[in-house]
Amino acid sequence: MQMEKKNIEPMKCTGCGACELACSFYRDEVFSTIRSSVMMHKEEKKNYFGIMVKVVDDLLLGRPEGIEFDSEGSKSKEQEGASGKPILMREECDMCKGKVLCAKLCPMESIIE
Amino acid sequence: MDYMYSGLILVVDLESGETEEVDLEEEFIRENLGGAAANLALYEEYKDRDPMILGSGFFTGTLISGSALGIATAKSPVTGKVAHSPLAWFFGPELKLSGYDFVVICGKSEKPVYLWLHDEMADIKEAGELWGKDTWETTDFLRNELGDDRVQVLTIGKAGENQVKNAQLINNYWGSGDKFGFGAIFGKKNVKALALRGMGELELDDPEAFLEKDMELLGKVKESVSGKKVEWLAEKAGISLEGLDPFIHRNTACFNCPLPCRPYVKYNEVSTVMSSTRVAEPGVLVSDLYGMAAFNKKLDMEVSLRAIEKCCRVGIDQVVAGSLIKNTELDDVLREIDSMVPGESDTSDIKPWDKDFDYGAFGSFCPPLTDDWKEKVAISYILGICPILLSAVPELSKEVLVEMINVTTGWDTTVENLDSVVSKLIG
Repeated sequence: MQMEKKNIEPMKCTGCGACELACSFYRDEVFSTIRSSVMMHKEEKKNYFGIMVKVVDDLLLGRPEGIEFDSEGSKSKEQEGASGKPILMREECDMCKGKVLCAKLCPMESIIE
Repeated sequence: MDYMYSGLILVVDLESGETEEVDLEEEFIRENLGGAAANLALYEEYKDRDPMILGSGFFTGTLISGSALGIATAKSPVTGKVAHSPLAWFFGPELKLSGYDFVVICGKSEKPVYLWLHDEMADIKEAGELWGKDTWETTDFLRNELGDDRVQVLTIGKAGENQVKNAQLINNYWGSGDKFGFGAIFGKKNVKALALRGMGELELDDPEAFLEKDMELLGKVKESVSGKKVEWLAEKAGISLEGLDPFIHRNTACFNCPLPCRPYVKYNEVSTVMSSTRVAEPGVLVSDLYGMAAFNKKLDMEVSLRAIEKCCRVGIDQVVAGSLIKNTELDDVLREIDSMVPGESDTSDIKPWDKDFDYGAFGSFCPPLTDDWKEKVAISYILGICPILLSAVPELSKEVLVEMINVTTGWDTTVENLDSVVSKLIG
């Protein structure tokens, strides 16, 4: 079980990052953002933001332009961040084995169960 | 460590260029909970060394809704008294997760420096080439230099460098809740910026019980704020948004907040463009409605918004600049704002908030939305939950917040204990 296109509504997102916190909480029961399978992608000066989800052999991108799987784009620099843990090295989304905490804790219902 | 903190206080001695790590004792947090109350205790402890304290609230960086707040505490160049400026957006969580829950900045550096905090490491770095840059250039430079777009930056522009009384700390590119001229303190200390990246973690006592209660609480919070955006805040604050709508790109929220009260506006490209285009700097974040209103009383909306960008770049309080402005044409307005930031300019007669309301030591980040404004803001500044959200959601009551403190820590603290910490701030 993993995140699908139907689980994301990018235009409802406000960029708050609760999904990252929720996912890390599922992994280790701590407040952190670094262990998350979900990462915010932000270009702050442009107010351009969306989410990236590490899924099996791929990345699921939920951006203002739409939702797509993108394994090629996952290697680009801007989706890594030199001091962060690159998204491709993170654990794959397993929908919290049914709990889907990112959806339950998204305050805008931008991620849906 | 399960009392909602990483466990370290960083003491920066700018005179010697040395830093010291002090353990954050549980007893200190039991006594002060965190945020502004803890900052005040640290201010008193270090007050002989001209300190500025940057701190995180008890719930900052956690899954409790609105947990975005960091707090700066220092003696204000505006009021001459100790004051607290809220730093929302993503500053607070990034500070706490950097490994340093509180930072005490003492003395003055001989040369311009910036501070870089990450992974429980603190560096004081030379900032000679940054001095003179505007805040947008500074944030771009630091994110590039430090190799991560998610680095959070607190910085000053020319106003701060020149120690103009109403110089504001700028958070990345945008105006902050600093209404007390703390930008001038950075300038006096020769600190151009503080850069943060938080990749730590916070442990809690009973994760399962927390999650259950948090989800229940979030349901109530979402119900309370359903449909509320900047229009709600503006109406409650008595501010007209007439003319703003055509510029609004998307409403955005601070860290983990269900109330997206900060509109980003575009004026260098069509506001409905949602993709990332070649226009590198399409607009600005409206983070101070009073500031926008101060300009918009005299200027048309587009000039007002461009004036806000200028204030962010030079790091001056938007309400003060908007109150002082006399010109109406864009180029003249921008030149006039530039003329406000040399050191000799006098902004002292202008208060950075609505004069009809006593904002005391807290500033006007949160408009007076409820009758118990002072207590709500004090709780917010201590616990690290946005005061606007706290005011909008009756379910985030003292009883509920105390219950959440106990679930995360295993303590048995009480509303009376919270009241006693609040009284340290509001008497």
